[in-house]
Amino acid sequence: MKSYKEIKAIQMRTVIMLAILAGLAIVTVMIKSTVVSALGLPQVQESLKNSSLGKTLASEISRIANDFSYYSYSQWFGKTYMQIAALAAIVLSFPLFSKEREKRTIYLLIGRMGRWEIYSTKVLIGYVAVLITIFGGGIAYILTANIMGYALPSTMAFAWTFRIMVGTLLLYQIGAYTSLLFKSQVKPFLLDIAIYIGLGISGFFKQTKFLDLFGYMGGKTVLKNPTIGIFPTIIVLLICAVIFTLGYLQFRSMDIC
Amino acid sequence: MSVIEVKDLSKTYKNGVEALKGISFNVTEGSIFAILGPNGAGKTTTLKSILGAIKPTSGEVLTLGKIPFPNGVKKVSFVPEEKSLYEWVKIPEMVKIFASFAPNFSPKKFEILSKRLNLTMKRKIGELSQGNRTKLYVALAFAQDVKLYVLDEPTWGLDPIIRKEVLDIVRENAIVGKTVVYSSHILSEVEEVCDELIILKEGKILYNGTLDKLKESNKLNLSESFLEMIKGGEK
Repeated sequence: MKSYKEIKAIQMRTVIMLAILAGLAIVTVMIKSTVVSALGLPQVQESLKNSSLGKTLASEISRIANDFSYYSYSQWFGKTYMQIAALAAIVLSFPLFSKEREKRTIYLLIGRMGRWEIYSTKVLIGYVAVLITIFGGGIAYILTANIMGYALPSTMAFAWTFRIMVGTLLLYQIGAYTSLLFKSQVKPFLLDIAIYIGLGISGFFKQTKFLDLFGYMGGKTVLKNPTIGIFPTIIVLLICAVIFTLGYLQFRSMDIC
Repeated sequence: MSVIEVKDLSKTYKNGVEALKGISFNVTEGSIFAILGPNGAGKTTTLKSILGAIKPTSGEVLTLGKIPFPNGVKKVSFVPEEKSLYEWVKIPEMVKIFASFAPNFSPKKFEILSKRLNLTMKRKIGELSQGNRTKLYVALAFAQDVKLYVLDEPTWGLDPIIRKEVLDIVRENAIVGKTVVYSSHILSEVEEVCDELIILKEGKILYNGTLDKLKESNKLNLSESFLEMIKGGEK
């Protein structure tokens, strides 16, 4: 099985990221009542009264306290889950090619496997790792919420989980591409972070809002309309396919030296 | 029959370094073919061109009748200059990993070779000395049943006993019809095994022919002929 080496190489990182995501999911559900009671403390209420944004914040806090779907959006799906998913995309992608080239282990593969075999095995095993990690995090949250008796519509929870899975695939694919560009592992890591920041900032401007991948992943719109968003999902997957193809063409034509 | 045909091969890297300047040679099936030259002569670039790791700037390479770039030719086993392996595994796991992607790999053959090379199996790759890494790489490469072995410094860091063993393995493979392309800085060992050779300097071929012919024409051994040729080229 030609994918054996890639599975071995990625399995530890996958397990660690899955454990972090699942652990945070469980903790986020479990601390809900603590968070709500902390927000209800007289000191917090007092400072809200004195703040210019007091009314808005008070209504936000009341919503977090009384609506578990909103709590899930504001504390998990639209926040921690998405952030850790983005981190998982970097962790799983940045060493893919750069480490093999930096350590010169790529010569074990070159000549013994075709370039397509090397490229597709590496990238697609990573796709599977991303899906397992992100799905695991989402499921851990949904199950914990159910066990603790919180009302979270499953369509809504699965819509977010699905969107974050698809969005993370794109982030991973971007990371796999940047990993091809450098012989050192540090450079793709830093470039990925810069790209993520760029994608996040793009959401603040009208002209670049279409680049706001994080807006699609942890979108507030899911609260009102709990769907996977077929059109943006297709666009994200198409971009993924384009970067995958460009990455292969890049790898196919590059000198391994 | 030629296993490798190189015609007017040139390679200029992106940084402007002209590694090869129109070299041509053929490698006969079943021979041990040496590529010699001082540092920076273009030996490794030639081997990587044969392997399909780099794209020629101009000219043509045919390895086992096929253009090797970009997909390589799967009936080739390569030992690179830097014997880099996956540091995070132990040797048995490394063998398992190698067997998963290397065509025609025989675990039984590996076991025999590792015994011949006195390889300690229980250690982690990251803990291996340079010599043990070379032993492991050579054992892995020759455990593949292929038509062509491309070896870059295959005795690097080895003691004289194991070095002799590696040379024996090279010879045995040539006897059964395999072709070995060999690059080394240790001219005495090249002289022991090679049939044909090229001597490269600054990306050009200074000599292309059999070892016997080289020695006959100069009345010198390989080391002396090599030095004379390299110095002569500098004039």
